[in-house]
Amino acid sequence: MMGLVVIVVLLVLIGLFSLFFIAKTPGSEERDVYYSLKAYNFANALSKASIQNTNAEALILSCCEGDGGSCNLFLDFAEDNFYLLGEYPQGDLEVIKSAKFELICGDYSGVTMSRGECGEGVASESIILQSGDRIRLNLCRK
Amino acid sequence: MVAMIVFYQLESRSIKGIKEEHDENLFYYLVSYVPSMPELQCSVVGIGDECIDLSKARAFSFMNDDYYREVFGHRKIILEVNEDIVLYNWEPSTYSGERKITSPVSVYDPNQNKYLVGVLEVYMYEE
Repeated sequence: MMGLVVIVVLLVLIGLFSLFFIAKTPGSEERDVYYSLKAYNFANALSKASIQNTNAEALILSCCEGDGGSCNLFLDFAEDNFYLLGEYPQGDLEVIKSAKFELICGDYSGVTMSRGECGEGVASESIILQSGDRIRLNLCRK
Repeated sequence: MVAMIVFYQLESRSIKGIKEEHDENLFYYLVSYVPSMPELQCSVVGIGDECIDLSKARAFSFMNDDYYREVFGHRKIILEVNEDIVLYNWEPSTYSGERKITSPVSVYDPNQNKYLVGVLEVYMYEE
């Protein structure tokens, strides 16, 4: 009888400790949402940006029609603004290691151009422009 | 008696945890919420666009309404674009430190008719 009581008490204690540690685990999902929002905001800002007396959408359109100069102008602008993604280190919040910006002409079977390197990371939603071309950003965390 | 004390401690920790989680979520949420506030958002004939209107942001920085204290709490929100515009700041009388998150945002300057890339900075005062 005594043994059973000890087992029950131990089980209750283990259960309480487990609950405590589960509750203490920081919400990494919220952080992923934050990084995804940040990536989306960056891609959105680029899609609207005024670049050298023209706008990004016109540059993307002529880039996807084969004008290499427009591609470089737009992608260089994107890369030059990567620093806006974060000033780090800021505690454990700003842990961006690298970023990859992609321009996909037409549908997903079209030409893809990119700047930066980031294999597996948090991706923004794709921004689909009126021309049907898409841009998106991937953020890799440390 | 011991069980009651343990239960009370666990419950109060749990409530504190929920409050911290809520504050944390609100902190992250502001990066998305602030640019979409009608008080700041670009709009053409009443239809909102995903960007901050620079002239609205300048006007908003002079607002000092209790309503925003209820929404944002002890935080500071700055828009950085060619200049620093303090959109909101409510500093507690004492705080131990501050945390900061940032996000790029699209900013429309109606004077130049140009879209710029700015940065929204949200600070949380830790008490």
